[in-house]
Amino acid sequence: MIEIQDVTKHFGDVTALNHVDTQIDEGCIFGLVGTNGAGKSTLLRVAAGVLKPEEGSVKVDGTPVWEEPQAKEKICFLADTGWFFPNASANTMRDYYAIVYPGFDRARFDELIGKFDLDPKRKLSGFSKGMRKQVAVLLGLCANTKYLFCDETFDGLDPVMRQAVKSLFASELLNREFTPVIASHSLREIEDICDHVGLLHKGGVLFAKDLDEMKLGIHKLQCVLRSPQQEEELLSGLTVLQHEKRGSLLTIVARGEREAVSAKVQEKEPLFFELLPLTLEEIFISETEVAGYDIKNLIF
Amino acid sequence: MTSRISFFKLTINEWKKLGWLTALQALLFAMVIPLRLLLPLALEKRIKARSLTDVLCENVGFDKTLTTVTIVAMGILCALAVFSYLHSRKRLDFYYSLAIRRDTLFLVKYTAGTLTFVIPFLANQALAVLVGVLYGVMSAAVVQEMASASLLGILFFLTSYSAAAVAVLLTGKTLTSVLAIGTLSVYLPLIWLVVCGCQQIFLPTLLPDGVTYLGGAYRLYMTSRRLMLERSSPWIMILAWSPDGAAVRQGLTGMWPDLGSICLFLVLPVIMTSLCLVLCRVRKTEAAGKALAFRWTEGLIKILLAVPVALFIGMAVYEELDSVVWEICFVAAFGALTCVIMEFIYRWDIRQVLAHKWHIIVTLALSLAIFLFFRFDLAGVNTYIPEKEELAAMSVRRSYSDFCYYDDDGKRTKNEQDILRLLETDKVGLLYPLAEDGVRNVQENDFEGDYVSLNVEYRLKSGRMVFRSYTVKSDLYNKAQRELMKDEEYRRRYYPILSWDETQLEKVEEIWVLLPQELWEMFAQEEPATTGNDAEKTDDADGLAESISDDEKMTDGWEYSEWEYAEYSGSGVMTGMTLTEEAGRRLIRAYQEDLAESDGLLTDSGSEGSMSIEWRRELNDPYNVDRYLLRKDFTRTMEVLREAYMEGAAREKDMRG
Repeated sequence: MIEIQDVTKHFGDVTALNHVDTQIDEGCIFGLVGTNGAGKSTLLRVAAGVLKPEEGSVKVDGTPVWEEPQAKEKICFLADTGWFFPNASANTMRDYYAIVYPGFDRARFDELIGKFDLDPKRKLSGFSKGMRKQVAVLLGLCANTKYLFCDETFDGLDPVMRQAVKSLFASELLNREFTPVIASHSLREIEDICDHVGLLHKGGVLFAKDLDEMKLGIHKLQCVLRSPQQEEELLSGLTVLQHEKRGSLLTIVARGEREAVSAKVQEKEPLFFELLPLTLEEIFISETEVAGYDIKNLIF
Repeated sequence: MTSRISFFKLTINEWKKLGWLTALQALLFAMVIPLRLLLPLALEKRIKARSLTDVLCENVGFDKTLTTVTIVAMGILCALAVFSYLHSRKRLDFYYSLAIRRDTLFLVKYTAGTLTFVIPFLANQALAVLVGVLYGVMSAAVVQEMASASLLGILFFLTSYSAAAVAVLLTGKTLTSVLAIGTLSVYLPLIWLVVCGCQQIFLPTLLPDGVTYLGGAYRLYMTSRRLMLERSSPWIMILAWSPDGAAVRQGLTGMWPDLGSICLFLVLPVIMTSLCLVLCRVRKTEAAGKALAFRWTEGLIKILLAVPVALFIGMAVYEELDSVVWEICFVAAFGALTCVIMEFIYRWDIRQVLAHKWHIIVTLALSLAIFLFFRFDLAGVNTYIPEKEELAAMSVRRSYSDFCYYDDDGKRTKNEQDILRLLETDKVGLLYPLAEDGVRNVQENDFEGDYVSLNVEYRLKSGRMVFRSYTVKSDLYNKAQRELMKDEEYRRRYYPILSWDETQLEKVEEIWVLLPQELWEMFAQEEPATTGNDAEKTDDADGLAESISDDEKMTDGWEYSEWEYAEYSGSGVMTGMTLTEEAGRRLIRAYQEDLAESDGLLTDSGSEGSMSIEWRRELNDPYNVDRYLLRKDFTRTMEVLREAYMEGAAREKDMRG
């Protein structure tokens, strides 16, 4: 488990992280979302032991990460500005990773690099941005560390590759202790990968929750009722996060159990009623509006 | 908890990545070590002008400037290349996320960088040995010296490398690293220039320690040269280093660097590498890409550089214009300009050059305060003169006096303050007017007529000593000095030659005399007689010198006493000659008598001559050279010189036949 406790980090006059408190449980795929400048990269760099926070601490399995090899050997950090040695090939990087990550699986790397159809002897400087990202992810996965921090790593990956990486992550989750932490500015990019999500804004974590739990607790419904009075009664009877009326069609996002919400609507004998699936964006809009933020200004 | 990452494997991997640096150094050292030896050996083998051993010893071993310069340059280049990861956020994100402490990572890089030097350097030294062996000139002594010189070369490299690493750690960009190395190299000389400049320009009466010539400037120059060349930065310390008394053939003559130098170059890298490790721990990752690694140093460095620059300019303007308004304007302008340039280097943004106005304000305030403090002598250094009643003793000495004083061990007293202590007199009433005149002259700065430069010592009744340097009217000084010279004991202290006895005369090795041309011409009007000896007469120059030499060797114990005239004509006025032993002794005795009977005033007006007496206490001691002024009215002295001249002229006449 990674415990981030009251972490504050300044860059000159800018507060990049402001008393951040959160934790990342083992075995989940944790998505860290937020706008550019929200502090995602800084949080990952602090968690990886690259930056020292002015206040607070980050612990990996109970051990502070700062200048502590015992904690850091459980982490592989793939920075947004991924760096390879000049003139290095995938094989060169593999050899280096084998030295700096004692658990590095060379055979698996060689196998995966073949499956991804990447030339291991070709200079990485000659690769496309997406191909370099693939090499970086493969190096990170084969490092066999318990935690893998990916900062904007999926930018530049095409949907097929993203799906392939997702499969690899799933496979790792099944076969060993593995907790990837993925930072991205786009909800859509990590929606189909992560099961836990934390939202960062202006250096603070607005919330961090299990995605399924969020989906189970929030519902979007559309209905047509017989009178405005019934509509008023329905809105007051539900824990409404959002509602909108277009013509006679009333759209409501409400918190609560699926059955309970459905029953409340059925009580009003609607002319039309259906429950719609919620996108991650809509869940975030609802959650952040409850928290007092206008999410449309935060992310989209 | 230690890292599971293998230090050795990581170091070797890092070294392999620096292959280009190893190759570059291999090429450079091949040119400055084995090739530089091979080419002259090959040439000498053909022309056979000198022995191959000489050629070998000229090109290998200690104190080879080209090799040393290359080592220093490679140390700087290696540090800039190896530690450049500290200036890149991308690379720091990568390296600092590894399970290795950052000081350990630094040591990995440090060792890899050292290997890039050590391997090609030693390989090329070995190649040089091979070249020597191929030409059959290599000996065990030379190999031993080359091995020692190689070890010293490695110490030089580590010194240069670790000093440059400190600069890299203190900065966040390669450009500012280079500027930092340059600044560290010249900062102390700059400070020295400003301090000495302030002292000499604004506090002319302050007598610095160890004044000997030119009112102290020469001594200060010598001190500064040592300071600048030997102490101002690790790089300059290396370049200024030379094995004490080393000759060309060190390997054969057994000359080695002194232990102190070796210890110094052992300790310096250790200190600077330790400093690097400390800096590694406290240096923030986010310093990468910024001009300086520690933000708090920005203002400090700016002010520490801008203030001396402003003062230096202020002094230059004072010397040229002597106008307070212009001086203040220039000090302020250059102080501010330096701040602006520094801010531009920090931010690399012309719009932010005035971002820290308080830096400029502090710089201007400090620069102007220091400048005006010295400019107007607000401490009253120049005008300070103790009350006459407070004084227990005083002494004065002309700044240009060259005759020397020695302690009981025969060691020359070089410190002016020590010499002044030797010349103390309680006749304060005689010397006090000189001090008053000196202070008055400094205040009025109006020098019309004849003046002399004097160094003055005040011994206060409280035991405190005060030393000053004044420019005083000549007649005042002469009057006081004549009175003092009436005291024989004082005169003997003032002119140590008066106390010379036979024992001292035996220590004299050589005397040479410079006299105005007119005096020689006066001597030359007499026709010299022949000496009548049987020296071989020849027109051949070598034969002439040989015959003189043999002749002299028969008559005295000095190695050479060949006389010559017109050998010195630097000014076009003075002419000189070297005396025989007997003539030299007669000259000193005559001089003692003349000086004892004179008024005791020896002034270097340029119309008199001088005699320089070279002597040493023991055979292996260094030479001392005392210089005494000659006066035309020293009749006995002039007579001895005339005789010596006539003897020399007669001898030459004999030889020329």
